[in-house]
Amino acid sequence: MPINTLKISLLAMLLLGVFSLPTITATQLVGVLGESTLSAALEVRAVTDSATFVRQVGSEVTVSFTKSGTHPVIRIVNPANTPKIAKLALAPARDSSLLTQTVDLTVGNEAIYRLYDHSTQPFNGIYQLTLKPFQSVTLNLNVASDNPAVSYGTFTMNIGEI
Amino acid sequence: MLARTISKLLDEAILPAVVIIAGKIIGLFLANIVNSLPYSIQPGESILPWTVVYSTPTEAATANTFSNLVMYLVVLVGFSVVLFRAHYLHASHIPPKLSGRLIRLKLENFIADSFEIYHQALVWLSFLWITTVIVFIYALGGGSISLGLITFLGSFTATYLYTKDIEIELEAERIVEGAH
Repeated sequence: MPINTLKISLLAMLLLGVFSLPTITATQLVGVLGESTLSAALEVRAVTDSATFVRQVGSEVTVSFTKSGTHPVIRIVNPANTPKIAKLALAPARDSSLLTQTVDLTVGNEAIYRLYDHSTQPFNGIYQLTLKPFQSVTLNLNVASDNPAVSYGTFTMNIGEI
Repeated sequence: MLARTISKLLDEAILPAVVIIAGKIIGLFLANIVNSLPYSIQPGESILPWTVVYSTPTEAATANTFSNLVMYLVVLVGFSVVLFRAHYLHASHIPPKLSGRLIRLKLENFIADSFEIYHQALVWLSFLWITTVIVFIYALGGGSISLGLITFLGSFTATYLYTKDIEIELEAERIVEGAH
């Protein structure tokens, strides 16, 4: 009977959840060789989707995008139990981009860094992003365009720690 | 009969399972607010989609003790409702005066038959002991042992009260059989 199968599946999932409850909490582990979480450095991780290509070499992250819209590109993790400040600096563009409007780096819905304005880079300053203890922040690329066929570009960003 | 029993058990088991999980999650967030505990929510640390991570084992133990208490109390309240129905609103031995009053007030739906009561009670009692085991797992892992003992005593008492109702039911059946 399909309704009973559904009920059994639902109950099995719920029971799995119930028996997994002891793993719902954890304690932040202290790193190996006595490295305390207090001094653990920010972690930068490349994230990608079908419209982006993200390459990370050390603290340098190169992002290529081929479509308009919002795309996750970088995740910054603070593994320490103290607040940390990430430093984002855009390197001058090395290749041509074709954009009809703007490209912003965003956190949630908030634009934090304008990367391009009609194929030019308006701002090459440093942006500082504060991360709370153990916080993880995903930076998204918001590519606005009135012609999705001509929205592509590449930029390189250096992400460090103050 | 067996298929009907299994179907009834399935129906009755979903609510307490949801209640346990909800109790633990709500308890954790209450613990964080009440004790002002710093925490972060991180994905991929366990079978569950996310894990609540604390800086120190002491903070984790405080949050777990508090949330386990909330989880256990929620299940105990659920079982107490079933137990109340078993003792006072059980069709086989409800006092005639109360039965008449409920019918007059058009509340006869509150009266439950043995089939419903015993399936409900079996499921809630099982989940009560499951939460007791979960609390003991925490106690073995460095959590509150006194909470483990309190939950054990609570579950033991609840089981005893439930068996008293079964005794009344069996006695009532014996009287009916004797009359025939």
